[in-house]
Amino acid sequence: MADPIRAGTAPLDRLQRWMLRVVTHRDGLEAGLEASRTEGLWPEGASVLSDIVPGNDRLTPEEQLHIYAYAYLARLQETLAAEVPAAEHLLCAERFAELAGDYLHDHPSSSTSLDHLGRHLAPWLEARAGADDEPWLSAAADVVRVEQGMDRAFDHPATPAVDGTALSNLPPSAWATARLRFVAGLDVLALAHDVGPAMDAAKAGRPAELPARRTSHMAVYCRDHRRYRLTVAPLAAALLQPLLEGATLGDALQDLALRPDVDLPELLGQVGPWFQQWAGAGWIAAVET
Amino acid sequence: MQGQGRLRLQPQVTLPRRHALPELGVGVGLRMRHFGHVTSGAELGVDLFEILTENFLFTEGRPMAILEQVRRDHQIVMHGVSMNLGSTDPLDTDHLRRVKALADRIEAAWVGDHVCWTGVAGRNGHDLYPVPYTEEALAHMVERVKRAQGVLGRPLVLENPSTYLTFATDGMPEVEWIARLAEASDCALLLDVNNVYVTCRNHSLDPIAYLEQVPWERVVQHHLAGHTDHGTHCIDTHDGPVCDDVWALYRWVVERVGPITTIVEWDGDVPSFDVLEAEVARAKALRG
Repeated sequence: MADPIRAGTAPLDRLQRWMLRVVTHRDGLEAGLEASRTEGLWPEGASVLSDIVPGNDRLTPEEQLHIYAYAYLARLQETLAAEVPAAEHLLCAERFAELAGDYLHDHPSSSTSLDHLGRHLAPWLEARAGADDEPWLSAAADVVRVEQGMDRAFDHPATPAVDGTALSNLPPSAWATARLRFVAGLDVLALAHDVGPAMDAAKAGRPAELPARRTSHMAVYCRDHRRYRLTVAPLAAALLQPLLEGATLGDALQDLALRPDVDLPELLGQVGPWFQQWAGAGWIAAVET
Repeated sequence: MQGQGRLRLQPQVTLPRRHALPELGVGVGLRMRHFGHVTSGAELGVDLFEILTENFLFTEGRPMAILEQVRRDHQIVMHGVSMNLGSTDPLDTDHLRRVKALADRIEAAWVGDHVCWTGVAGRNGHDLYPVPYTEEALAHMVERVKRAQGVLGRPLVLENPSTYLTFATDGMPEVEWIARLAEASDCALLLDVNNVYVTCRNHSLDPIAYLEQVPWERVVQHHLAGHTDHGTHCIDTHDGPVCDDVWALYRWVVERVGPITTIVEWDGDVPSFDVLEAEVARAKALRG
């Protein structure tokens, strides 16, 4: 059944569109009131604000609307800061709040859930970094990617992990076709910055330095319902990624070994410790043969 | 009429309950700060928990694991902020289906939301915006509440909001509008005592006069919470203890209507669990 109210024409619809425009304007209530008038959103028959919101003997209509306008920005800025606290720490709270206002202007929420509020934040910061030539914003985009990756991992059900013996007990004949099944939520992020030290600083409440701009890989995962991140060496990431996508151990190792930049004896010496590290971190749910 | 319970509006007056929803005692909102404590095995001085529905719709992680553990020993009521029932946007049936799935999964005692709108034209302001108390808005929301209840397969429990403005087009008092909404849509009501106080303070209304007009036969739950008093107005902040004036209103209700499931809300600067238990104990003492 269709809704009985027709968009843009019924008084209720006009009133709601007007109010949302007024109380969510990036530049505040006055700008919202002005924009709503120039955009023709005022309810029919209203010539002054008190024709819509009468106010009372203690608060003017503007003051009453300001309560909603203040709450809108404060709530959503706070939500974004809570979603990516290390990014806020890197940029400082004041700068982050200013950027959050701009971000919300460009990406107003259309979701029923505040969990989705920051879904465009990393690419938005990246684009803003390019426009403003601000390396801090580009680095913050990578921090956001890591924090949101950890959140995604957190929202997966806990998966029991196997220990390193599951791999060490694998018969040599089974290695080529064996597949590793990883715990739900584990992801390896390719980043343009080494954001680990800045995230450590945020966690410790220390001032963060500008993360070095260099390719890095960060695994994000959840263990015992706690969020974790772990820097992964480039070669280890090159092996882990296809394994996460379901490649057999044989195929993944062969592809890596054939890379011209890979020293085979060195690789063979590294693989065992990598697997032990991954098992120790609780990443491996099963070894499937 | 369905239901077995009887309400005492006056000592000599009884009203049948409209909905056969049980009286569950006094509880608190389940908040992340208390996840460890409430699953530690410690004896909890609460009868039930209320969850903010939206916090559990998109996760299978720790929050859901905690919720399922808590559910083993306690009743859960679901309270949401995103049904957007007063809006002119299309009803979000995907959201309603997700809510229903969660309610079925945890066997929630009931599902609630607010008498408000939260967004329009595809944009969500994530606030509980006031509905104009007009015939047009009433007819619109009645229809949507009916449809939402159809999707949910259960009656909705709708809460009176805290409001900070009125509209020039308002044609009737809030309490009358909500009573008509409940009657026409056959929903149940959550009477937030703090919201009654805040709204009446903000609009120079008499809270007792408000309470006297509540259709008590439809009320299945109360909220108690703290607010911030700015002198010229109050904001429903949920960041402190219930104030004495709100306790007095709660006592007024309990003395006339009897005990109704009550949740103490505390969402900002959330204190340790024992502080909430003390508020619960005070509510229980008033209920006798």
